[in-house]
This record gives sequence, C-alpha cells and structure tokens, in this order.
Amino acid sequence: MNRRAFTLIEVMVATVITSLVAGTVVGVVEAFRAATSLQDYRAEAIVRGAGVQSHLGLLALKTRMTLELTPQRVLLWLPSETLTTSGTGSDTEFDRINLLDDELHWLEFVQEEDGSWTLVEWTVKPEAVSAGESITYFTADGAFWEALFETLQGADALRRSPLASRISPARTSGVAASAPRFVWQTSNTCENRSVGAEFSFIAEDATNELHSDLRVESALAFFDRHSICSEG
Amino acid sequence: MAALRPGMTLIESLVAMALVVIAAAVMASAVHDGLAAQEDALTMSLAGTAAESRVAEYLAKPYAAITALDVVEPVGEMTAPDGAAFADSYEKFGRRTEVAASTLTVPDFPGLAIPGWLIKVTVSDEWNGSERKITSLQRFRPQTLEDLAAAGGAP
Repeated sequence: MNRRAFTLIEVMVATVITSLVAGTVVGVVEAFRAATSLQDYRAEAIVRGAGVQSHLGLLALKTRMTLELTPQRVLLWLPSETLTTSGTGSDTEFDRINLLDDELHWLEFVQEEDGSWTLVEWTVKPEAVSAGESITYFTADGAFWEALFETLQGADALRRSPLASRISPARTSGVAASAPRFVWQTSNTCENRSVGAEFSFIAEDATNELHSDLRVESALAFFDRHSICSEG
Repeated sequence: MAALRPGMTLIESLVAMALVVIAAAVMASAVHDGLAAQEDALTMSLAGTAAESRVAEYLAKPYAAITALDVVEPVGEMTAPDGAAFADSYEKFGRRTEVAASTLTVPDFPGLAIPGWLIKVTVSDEWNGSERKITSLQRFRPQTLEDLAAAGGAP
C-alpha cells in the first residue's frame, strides 16, 4: 500500500520543532552538568571543611599549650602522660616533651609547585629518633621549636599527613590574602588559649573558579601553663 | 515480501518530543531543589564556624576579662577576635553574642553550684528582607580554681 508522503511544509515544520526540542534538551543537559559540578564542589567544601574543623577541634581538646605560633605554622603540644603529675613545678615527665610519644604536632600551610596550598600535619616518626634523643626539656622559646622542626625535617624524621589540599588564601572584600594563615588569641605561647585557621577551598571548571572561605577556631579546652612560664 | 510498517505520524513524534521536554523539566526542577538544599547546608556549615569562632574567643579569654554583654554585629560586619573582618563567604551573616553570669548546678550533687558565664551566640542572615536565624550555640564557661586565684580569691 502506498502512503502519501510528507509535504515539504510538514517536513519543515517537523524539522523546526525537532531543532527547538533538541536545543532545549541540550540546554537542559548543559545546565544539568553545571549544576552537578556546583553540587560536587559544594558537597566537597562542606565535607572538607567539617573534616578540618573536627580534626583541629580534636587536637585543641588534647593540647596543653601552643609552642610555636607563626602565620603559616603552629606547634601544638599534646602530653602523653596523665594530668595526675601536673602542677608540681618540678621536672616531671608531664612537663617534658618525649619525641617518641607523639607529643608534638605541627600544622603547616605548605605551598605546592602549582601554587596551591596544602594544610599539612607533621608528627615525629618514632623510628627515626633514637631513645637517647627522645626527651626534650621544655622551653617557651618559639625559636627553639622552629629549629627543632628544621632539624627533624632535615633528618627525615617527620611524618607528613595532608589534612586539606587545593586550598588558597581567604579573600576579604574581594582581595585575597598573600597566604592562608593560622589565627590565635595571643602570640605569647604562655598565655595563648586558642588556635584556628583561615583559608579558602578552591575548585575550577571550564568557566569558573569557585571559592569558599573558611575560618575555624577552637579554644584549648585543657590549657595548662608550664611552670617555666612563671619563671624570670 | 513483508508488508511495509507504517512510520510514526507527525502527531506521535510531537507527543514523544513533548514527553522528553517534560521529563527534562522535571529533572531540572529536581536538580534546582537539590542545589537549593545544598546551598542551605553550606550556609549552615559556615554559620556554625562563625558561631564557634565567637564561642572559642570567650572560652579562651582570661576569665577576669569577661563581662556581661549583649552585642549584635549586623549582616556583613562581623569581626574576628583580632579585629579583622571575616572573609567574603561570611559577608551574608550577622551575629548576636549574649554573655550573662550564671550558676551551674548538678542535680546529683545537691548544694554544688559552679559560678561562670553563659555564652550564647546566634548567627543570622537576611531572607526576603527579614532576619533569619541559622544557628545558635550555647556554652558555659566555669570559673576554675586558677581563675579564682587570679582574681585574688581563695582557691
């Protein structure tokens, strides 16, 4: 049976309608792709931000004192001994720092080769420190702890644990700071009772660079001033 | 020879295309709702850090330096403890800080009363021209023996 063929007009109308529908669908698919990309970015910012906040909070909960405070590096002292020997003012185990007992945690913003920054936690590798070098007498001198970091890093005695990568300096009034930074209550380590960080998560797609600034701060719940702070 | 099957009519094609468009619209609507929910989650997450920042400031302050107050930082004017403005992602927030003397009692220990400060921080934004509370944090800062000694009291 022969069916009547489409007329030119019918074909043209169908072509136009098909083109319109195809254009709409392509637009929807592109919007869908952009939206899912934004969703991924936001979800990542939420999860990564919560991760940094909870880890910093956990460290602050265990920290007795901050020992070194610079914009790109802080040192937290987490005694491994119980509080029962505290407050004697004598040279007790609690008042000394044992490098073999995971008592020192450096947090550092490290700039990578591509220009982005990584928040890194450095801890001492027990296997890289001999027992004879494990006990360090306390000092409130930040330069001492800075030198110790350089020495341990030079000897490959520090373990690097990235906490957040692909971060950048936070922006204020549209102007980015020169680097992500740590924040604290006072630079006097004998008085400082809080630690925090300010930075921005970045994500890029074909057309946009997305930023989510973050400021996290925690008080040192069990701040305990070393007796050396009361001397001379 | 097999009989020729009739093709789709123009009407059938148009109906099929209309169904595709409707499906795409439904999908777009679902994605839009998901994005809005995620925007809310990110907002709540940031608001939480703004509140936590203020609470940390008061937990870290010397006890004797704390005084009762009720202060509102308008939207876009929050400042960090060092006096610097918050970063741009926090521009949409305002914050209220209430600090009041309080006493903590423990039901299992009658007669035990711990003096301290009750710190309450509420973070809000503007939504359709009015204030919308996003999150609220409350912490108690007890007066420790060290605080008491520093104030000249008997430890």
